[in-house]
Amino acid sequence: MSTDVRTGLVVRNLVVDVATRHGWSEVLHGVSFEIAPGETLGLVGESGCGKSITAMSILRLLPRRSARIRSGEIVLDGIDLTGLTERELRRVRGDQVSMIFQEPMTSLDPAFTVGDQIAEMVRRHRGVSRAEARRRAVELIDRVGIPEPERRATHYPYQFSGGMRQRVMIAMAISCQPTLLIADEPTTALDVTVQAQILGLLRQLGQEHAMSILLVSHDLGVIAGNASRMAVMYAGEIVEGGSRRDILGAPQHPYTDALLRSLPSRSEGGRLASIPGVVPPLGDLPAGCLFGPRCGHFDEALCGRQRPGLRDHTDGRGVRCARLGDLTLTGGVP
Amino acid sequence: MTTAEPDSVLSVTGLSKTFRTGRGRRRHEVRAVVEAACRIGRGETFGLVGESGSGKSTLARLVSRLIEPDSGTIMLGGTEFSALAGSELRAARRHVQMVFQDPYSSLDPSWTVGDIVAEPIRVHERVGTAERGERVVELLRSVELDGDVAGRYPHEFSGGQRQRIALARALALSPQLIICDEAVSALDVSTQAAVLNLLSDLQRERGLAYLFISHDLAVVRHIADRVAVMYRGSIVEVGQARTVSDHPLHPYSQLLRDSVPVIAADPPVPPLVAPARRTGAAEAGCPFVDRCPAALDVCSHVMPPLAETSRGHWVACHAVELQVRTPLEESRA
Repeated sequence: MSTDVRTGLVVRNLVVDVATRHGWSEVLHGVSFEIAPGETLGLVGESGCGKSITAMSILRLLPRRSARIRSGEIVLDGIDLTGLTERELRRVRGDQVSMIFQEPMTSLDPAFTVGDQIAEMVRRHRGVSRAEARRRAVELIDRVGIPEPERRATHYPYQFSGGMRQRVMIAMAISCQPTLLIADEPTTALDVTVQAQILGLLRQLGQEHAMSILLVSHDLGVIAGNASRMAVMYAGEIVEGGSRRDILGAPQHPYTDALLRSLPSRSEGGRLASIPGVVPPLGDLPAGCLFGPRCGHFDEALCGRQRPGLRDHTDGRGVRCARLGDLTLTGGVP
Repeated sequence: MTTAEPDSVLSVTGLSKTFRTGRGRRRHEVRAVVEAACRIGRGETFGLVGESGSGKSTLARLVSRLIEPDSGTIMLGGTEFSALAGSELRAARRHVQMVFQDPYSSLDPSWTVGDIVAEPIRVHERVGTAERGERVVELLRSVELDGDVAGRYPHEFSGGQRQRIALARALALSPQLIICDEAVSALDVSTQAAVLNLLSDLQRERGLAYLFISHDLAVVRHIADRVAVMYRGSIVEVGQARTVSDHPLHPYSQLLRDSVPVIAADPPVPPLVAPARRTGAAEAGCPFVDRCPAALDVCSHVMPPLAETSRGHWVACHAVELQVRTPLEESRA
């Protein structure tokens, strides 16, 4: 299963359907991105844009009855994960790829001490002795900055605060030194001062272990401070991808532009820019550009007939806008 | 800042609340709000920021008398709201309304939007069905919804629209004060912006005052005129929203400001913040002492009072007081 070739993660043309009352309905319309070894990619978008479905698809964690990967490739270090059996995939989960979620309490078993839970993970994937697994668990608890690791290893999840619980989850996630860590809104339930600590820890671990991180968040600030490259999602598509500096400094897609302009931190008194309308409902997508009905730059002839492809802009930048090049967008931040 | 000025909508002094749970050895006390004081003027937005457990929602519940304080006074205009009981209390409640965080649980799913918005009118006023219906339509229009949504149910609406419905209900009795408890926190930024704009418009049109509670410093900085920062039950800093957000003086407010992720193309490297050493609720002394980089000996014994460091800017910190006082006294000498 494991290879020595580390090429990172490549997701190509991922199409995912979810079950609705009227049958299967497409929610991801061909999502593509890459994460190099040791790199952090930020996936940002508003609720319902498909960012969590994308994250869950990588480890095939979506419930089989309500979601399916229709087509596309998910290649990690040269191996296509979509082609693996459930049994093979179980070995990848937690070993090469780990995932942390928004609410650590639901991911931890309340009936076992955190030390036992981390040790179990190590034993399952590394086949070491009980004593050795135990020793590594304490080491990991120390590694993620939890004070008094020996004593804390004997505590149950309810004895930890939200931030400390997320540290436990991170300890478990890095226990087998994965090459890819998927962090889905890892700090959304936490206070801002605790968020700063957790994000700091992730940055530090990412660098030390040369771990690739897929950081999923609705918060542009979280992405800005932690990802060198980013992708903006809207209605199941990546509408703009590239380096953080390019995208935040000079957005080329009207959605990214509008998102940046609606931030309260941009206000100097006065009114905020908002985006009119709502995300198109599943199964009732517009014929042309998915953002078209809410876009201030919509042009029926250019945007209303067919869905724009992801057009290459400059170095690694992709923008899904038919009017790319003839718009002047001013929403960039310094 | 503790005297009730004639034009104030709300004036709170010495408000405290301790929650007690368990018995005997399992007895546990949480000092949720400690000696809180604030004043909100007519047409003013007063922001309240703090982390979870800081007591900001408890303060909101005390102010609206959803829960009873252990001590303290709450003045609504010229009326001592905290002294009212029975029918007088019920009548006075119309002046303070609330909008909560979760637009999915604060609206009864089995009621139509029209019934939800009409309920306060039905409870507090004797008006005919026809007039009530007209007022509901008017209220819905004032929050930029079509009057004909009255017959529909909450599940048919998005989060932002539901928050507009909750706002229409809060406006039904023309209150002087609306308490927004994390009212925009669950919304996406683009929707949040529209609701924040609506709140500003309604304030201008109706002279409303808001007590705006949020964990989000950027949102409070945008909407509030003045802001108070709460930490473990105590208000540690009060002042103009811009001043407190951009140039906070209290070490906790500074930590809060530094923790907010900066949205920039080239963001500064965020500071590495040490986790809190949990010591439980401090009985005496400053609640922030165990995390404070500027702590003095006195801080663990004596709770610093709110002191005015410049006009309208109040800080509860021994270290800040020392800094502010010293040059003053030197210049006098």
